Amino acid sequence: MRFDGPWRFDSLRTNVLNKYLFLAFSALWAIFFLYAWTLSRRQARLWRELEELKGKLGSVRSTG
Amino acid sequence: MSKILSSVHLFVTLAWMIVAFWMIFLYAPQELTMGEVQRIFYIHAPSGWVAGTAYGIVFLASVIYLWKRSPIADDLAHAAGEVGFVFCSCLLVTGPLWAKPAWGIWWTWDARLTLTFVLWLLFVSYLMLRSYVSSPGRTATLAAVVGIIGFVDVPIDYMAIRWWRTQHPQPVIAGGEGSGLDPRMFLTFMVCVGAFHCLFSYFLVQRFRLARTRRELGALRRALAIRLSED
Repeated sequence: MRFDGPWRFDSLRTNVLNKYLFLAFSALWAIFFLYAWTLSRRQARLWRELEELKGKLGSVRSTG
Repeated sequence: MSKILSSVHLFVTLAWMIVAFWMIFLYAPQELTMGEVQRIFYIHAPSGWVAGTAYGIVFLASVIYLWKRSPIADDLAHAAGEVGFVFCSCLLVTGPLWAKPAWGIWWTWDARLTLTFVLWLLFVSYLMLRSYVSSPGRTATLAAVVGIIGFVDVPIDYMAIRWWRTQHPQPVIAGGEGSGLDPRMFLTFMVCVGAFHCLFSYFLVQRFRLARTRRELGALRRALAIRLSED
């Protein structure tokens, strides 16, 4: 790949205004955050279920 | 202890991602032909590398599962399949967003693009198989077989741009004579590959822990059912 020298500060404007670049980076972060969010939700639900079940099992053992 | 390790892992991942994104926009030089849009390369190619790594883990864990019948290997394969699907989706989303300004088209059915789409379909079918087959032992065995057979696509996909003439550019890393990157572009790319692999490993560990918790939950449910039936 060819390049035209060091990065220039005025190209920040072009970076932001390039819609394809903006869309690609936005989509990437959206996918990452969406996945992290679903993962943490599933983890929280499973931990809650696990604690409930441990409680149930403990009470069954103590009554038995 | 595992919470501390997990926090350190997350911190390192975020720090590495920040450095990678700083390098993409402020360190790497602008490419002459495509201009600013070429910076998509630094997120597109590492997503592909991570997807390949993920399927490699699915393959190895599947082999170990079929050999040892280890539930840990099965959970690892499942976790790698799901996280690999996420990165393969990133690859397929960022690719067309780079192709449109560079080639003038969103998509073409050349060898590289088609094989990458097939890889994504393999991830989808792998996850669907795990969701729809109800018997746990059978699911793991069938998924392991799909994981092993599907891996054939990865090296062919990697070699596609070397074996055939494609719309997709020729390789710039390990592409032989005439290929290569400017040193600053190469460094930025390698930092991005590292950052993406670090994020992948973080997601993989979290997803693996989820699978282990689910297995523990299943065992507890069975214990409770036995206990209740005894009473």
